[in-house]
Amino acid sequence: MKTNNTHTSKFDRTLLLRGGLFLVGAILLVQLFIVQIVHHDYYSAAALAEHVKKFEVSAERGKIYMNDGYATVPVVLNEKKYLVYADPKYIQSSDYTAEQLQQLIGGDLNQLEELLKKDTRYVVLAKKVDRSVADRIKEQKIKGVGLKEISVRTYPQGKMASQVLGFVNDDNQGQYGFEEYYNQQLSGKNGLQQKITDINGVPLAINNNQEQQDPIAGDDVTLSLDLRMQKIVEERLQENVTRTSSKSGSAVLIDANTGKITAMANVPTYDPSQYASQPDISIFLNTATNGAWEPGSVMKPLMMSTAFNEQKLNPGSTYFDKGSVQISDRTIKNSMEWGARNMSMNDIITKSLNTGAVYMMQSLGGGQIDEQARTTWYQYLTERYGFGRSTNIELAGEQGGSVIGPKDPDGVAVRYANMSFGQGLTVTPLQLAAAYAALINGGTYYQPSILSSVKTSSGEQAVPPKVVKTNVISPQVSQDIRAVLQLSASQNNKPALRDGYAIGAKSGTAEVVGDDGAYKTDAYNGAYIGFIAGKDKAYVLIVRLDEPKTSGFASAQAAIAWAAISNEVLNIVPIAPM
Amino acid sequence: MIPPRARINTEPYQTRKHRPDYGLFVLSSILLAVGLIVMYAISPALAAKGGNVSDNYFIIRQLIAVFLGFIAFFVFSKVPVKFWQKIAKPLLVSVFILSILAVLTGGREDLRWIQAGPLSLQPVEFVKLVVVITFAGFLAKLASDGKLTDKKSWRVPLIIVAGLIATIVFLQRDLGSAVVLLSVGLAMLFVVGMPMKYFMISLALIVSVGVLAVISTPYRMQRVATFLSPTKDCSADESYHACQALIAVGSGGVMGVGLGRSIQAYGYLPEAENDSIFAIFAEKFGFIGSVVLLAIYGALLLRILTIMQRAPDRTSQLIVAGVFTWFAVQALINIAAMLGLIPIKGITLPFISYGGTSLLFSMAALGMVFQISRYTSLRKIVYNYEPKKEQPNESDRHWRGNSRPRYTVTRRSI
Repeated sequence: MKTNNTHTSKFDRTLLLRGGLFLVGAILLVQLFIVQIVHHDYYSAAALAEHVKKFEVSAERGKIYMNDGYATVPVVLNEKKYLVYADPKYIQSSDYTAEQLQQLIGGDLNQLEELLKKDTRYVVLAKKVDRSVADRIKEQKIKGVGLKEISVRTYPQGKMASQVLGFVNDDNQGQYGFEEYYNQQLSGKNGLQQKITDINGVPLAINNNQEQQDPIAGDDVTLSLDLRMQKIVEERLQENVTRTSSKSGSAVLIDANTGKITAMANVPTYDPSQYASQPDISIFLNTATNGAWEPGSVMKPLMMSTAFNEQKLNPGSTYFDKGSVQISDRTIKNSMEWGARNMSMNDIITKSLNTGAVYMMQSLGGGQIDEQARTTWYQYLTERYGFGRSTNIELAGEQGGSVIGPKDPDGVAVRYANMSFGQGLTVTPLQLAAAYAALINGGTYYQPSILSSVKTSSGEQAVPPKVVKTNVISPQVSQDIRAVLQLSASQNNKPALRDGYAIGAKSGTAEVVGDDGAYKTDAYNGAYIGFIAGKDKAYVLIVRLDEPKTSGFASAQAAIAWAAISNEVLNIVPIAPM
Repeated sequence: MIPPRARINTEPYQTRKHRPDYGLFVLSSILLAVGLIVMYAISPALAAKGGNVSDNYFIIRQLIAVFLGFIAFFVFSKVPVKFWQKIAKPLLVSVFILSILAVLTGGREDLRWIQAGPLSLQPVEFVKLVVVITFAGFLAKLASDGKLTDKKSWRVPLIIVAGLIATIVFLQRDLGSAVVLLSVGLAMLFVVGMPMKYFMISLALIVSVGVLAVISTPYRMQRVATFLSPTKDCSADESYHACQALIAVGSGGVMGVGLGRSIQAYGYLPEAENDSIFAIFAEKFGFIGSVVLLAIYGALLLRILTIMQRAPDRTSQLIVAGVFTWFAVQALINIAAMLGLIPIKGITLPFISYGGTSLLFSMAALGMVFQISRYTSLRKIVYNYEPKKEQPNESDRHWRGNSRPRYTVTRRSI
């Protein structure tokens, strides 16, 4: 060993290693300088572009309330739920993860596994998962599985007013009814947030000055629907639809002096929180506003008010009724034989005389259903009573019904003769209720409305009643029609009468147009519409039963339902008597 | 009578045991601390990536690794070099067994790991240590026998080396480690004084084998192509890692984003705790921090070089040369890849990266250098590979302070 411990003058190779070390160090330093200082801005921007993700902060959807006479009661609220999603790219073992998840969120194991295997970056595994389940998923820290907080509508009153309310779909869009019509105001404005996140988009706690735009919550709304009345109407309607084995039923209760809807119900109905499981989407439709139909004799009081208001006839008028009337090639008969005799105006309503309705129609012209008669009736229907167009109530998908013009060449005299007693035109229950309100309140047509007040970020504001047209008919004619309707109710629907209250109504049975376009011979729609008036409150109630199976007039069944509703409303809701 | 300060040329300078170079220990401890600090800061981010682990999982495992590393350092700093030379053959055999075991059991995605319960071991780190020990002994013997260029003596070792390298490159697909091993071997050849002609031949041979390894495997070609392409595109799978590394380093700027504010660690940069840890460090501590880190590495490597130059014997010198190259090449490959200078290789940053095996064997190797530093001479020693040529020894006795009585042990070793 010692012999080798020698110093030589030979070139020292270790010097080269030392030199190499310095050279490499210098290269690294230069590159470090270039990357970290020269190109710092570029890489900072690249980092920011990658780390900052924009988040939409969803605004809370407006809540919906009703009044129960004492306080406002929530009928639609929001609840936090969780959406479970996965990024299949990060799922290492789809069968194991599927098993893990299935124990938490349920569902079909194979289906979950299929989803986790998909060649995409985003699959929804479960919607509307409760917080407790979400927390357990979070604890498990399953790679590739994420949770998103979502807001879901809840309905403390269950099925109540479901067709009026509509529902909110998975994209947070209102569907049907009020939710759809008022979607924009209820939605509010989503806020925007920029956050630094990890690679999976999970925001980090690292503080940084981020742009932020707060969400603006949607408007809270109190509907004009009265919880008590809504409940009564729904229960009695359901009861009567069941009793009569009707296909469906619909009812509207409207405040005659404001146009505010206090109850609106349809049978059959559904649970809006379970909207996705409804097999038939027609159940979402609100027949009260969407179900235009031929109303039948309930149009007669409107025909009469027109003739009175035009001063062609008056409550004392009489005419000779032959039992039938010939219009062009058609013979119009009454539903019951009364024989040829003199009839009064009251008889036309109480006995529901089609011939009388035609007589009133003829009186508008020169004793014929001439163009003047037709034009007058048409104008009253469309311009004063609000038929043939939607009422603009705050509900989506409202129908306007159809009223054929007076100059239409297609058998126009016959059609107008039919129209005098409610056939050959279509109207919605809501249109009728609004027109009747004008008929009995002295002649003011109010805008039908479902809104009572709206609470925006700037405060709560009542939605005042809106007058569409005054002097639809004169106050005197309104008085006269009330009297006729009261007489009709007192003769035909005694159970509905009540001391201290003015109650008047008219029935209507109409033939049903079948799928083939012809009138069915075995099915009728029954309607019953009338008013309940106390000292300073007046309501119009319409009940419609579609194709009841019980014998007798369909309208008689509707009248029973009407009386049941009106009586219970008077029992429960304090309405001051006259 | 001899005057006290006379120059006396007597027998060659004989090293005796003295105070070791504690600088090695201090510098490596600093690097370990840096690793722990970075690990502590990104441990929650790593835990968040998935797997059912607590926020402190990574830092705790790294702490255990550091503890074991210190034990390894302590053990190796006590054991004389001769002992390792004695058991060189059994060591070599066990390394082969472990490597083949890793390939056969094939834990993880590649065949680089041996899994034993909660522990996993990377045999290639053990290979590095054993190669340094055995190759040093072998070369030193050849050199003192004057048989460095004797072809016969090279047959068996060449087969062993080829077998090891082939296993690592083609079965474990760990080109990075192979590059480290070959660099270690080359450096040792260089230091031992292999004639330039032979040195150049082996260099050319190794480079051509390397090129072959790259060309023969598509994924390596892909990496090279990615590296050569002028743009680093984060959206492409191939260049994603390199792009994210540059973003991490670049966004650090002069001062860095701060210890707890690294965002790249949150899943953006692959292998943030391991191969990419330098990029995370550079993001957190910026240019200044990175320069300081490079300086610490530089200081450590320079100290090792100095020990190498003054090693008491050939074997020791070659061991130190091997360890020096091991650390230097590994740090260089790792850092240069993070800076976009070379393609990304799966290789750890010594003393800093997460991973017990790497840390354990790095500390062991450093412990060995520490042991050698107890016997360094005060002057550089250049060992001549030609044994017959007698050279007059030069004494350092004329140096001031030398050859006086040593009353204390506080004298510096070098």
